[in-house]
Amino acid sequence: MDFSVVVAVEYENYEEHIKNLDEFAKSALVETFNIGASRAADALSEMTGLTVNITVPEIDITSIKAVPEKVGEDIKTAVYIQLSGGFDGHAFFFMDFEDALAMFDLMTGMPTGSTTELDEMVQSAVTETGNILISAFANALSEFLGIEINQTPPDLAIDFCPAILDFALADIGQYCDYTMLLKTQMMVEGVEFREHFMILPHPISMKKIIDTLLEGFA
Amino acid sequence: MQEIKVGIGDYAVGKKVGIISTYGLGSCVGITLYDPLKKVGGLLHALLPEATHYGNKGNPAKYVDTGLQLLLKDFQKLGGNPRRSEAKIFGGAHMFTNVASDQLKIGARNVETAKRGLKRLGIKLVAEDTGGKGGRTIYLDLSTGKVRMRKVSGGKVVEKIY
Repeated sequence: MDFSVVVAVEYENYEEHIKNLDEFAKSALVETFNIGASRAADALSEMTGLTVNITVPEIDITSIKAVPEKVGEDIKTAVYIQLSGGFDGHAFFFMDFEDALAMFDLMTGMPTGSTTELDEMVQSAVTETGNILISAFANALSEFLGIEINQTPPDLAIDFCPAILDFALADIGQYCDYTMLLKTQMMVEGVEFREHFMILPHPISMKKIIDTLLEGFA
Repeated sequence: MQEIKVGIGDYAVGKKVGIISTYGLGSCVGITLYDPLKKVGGLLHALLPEATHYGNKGNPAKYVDTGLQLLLKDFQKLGGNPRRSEAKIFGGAHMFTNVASDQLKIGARNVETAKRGLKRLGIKLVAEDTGGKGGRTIYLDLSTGKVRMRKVSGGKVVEKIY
């Protein structure tokens, strides 16, 4: 799975800040987001009874211009939740078509290949999965950082990947020309899923979090 | 065939041969210009409406109004004449219903700004496929000025020529 969070920060500082993040700050962020990811995995595992493993291998800082090329034109199902409060950002849970069907089979205990259509049942299962993952992630982050994080209800879209991310990029584009993409790797029962969470944190929140983290280490 | 891919907050122009494309317009707008006499074409993929509203920060091609000016400049360099040209607008969708803040209902504002900008420049708008929930990918054919648009409907890709 892919978890993307988009973050934005005050323009002048943010753009320089995000482009020049040192390795130490980056690894502190990766560690923090991994806490969230592992909590998300636990939550999904509890719901499905399956072994789930989610990690955030790295943080990608990319120009907004290059995002379509980077994420590709594939059609994906995506669950979106907006985060606000102490951490402003946009959280997406992306799933490939076939993986959505396969996961539904896994969740309902049917042999793989039984589900062939992304009907309402499958869509609501995907939405719920995304909701659980993103909520668990946000709650873990909230506890760890000691901040309150509000969430909107989840919504689902089936569309081109860059089109799904577009308005989140527009939000960040108000402040800078770069964004941070947090992608996750997800394994279910030892099988790697191409799905991911993506979080695009708001630049201002991002800077706040980095400052909090580095203070903690100092 | 040669294809120039335009990113977000990016534009390109060309003449007579090849394709200019842009992928996955959501709330963004794609504006194409085409001069049928000179066979000069251009495409802008803009993220936000008016530059002044955001303090002219960063890349000017990410705003509809300043992006259009940049596009037009290059378009004229290749011999394109705005008075003779035809414009088409795509995108400006609103993908998620749980996004309620006006600040983030950027799609409709992008389309409005694009229409106002074209009018101000005296370029006639001949086609549009805008609004709604879904994303769009567009390909401008520089030999004909036709735009092929792909859209996702019910999980499947549908195509239309404008």
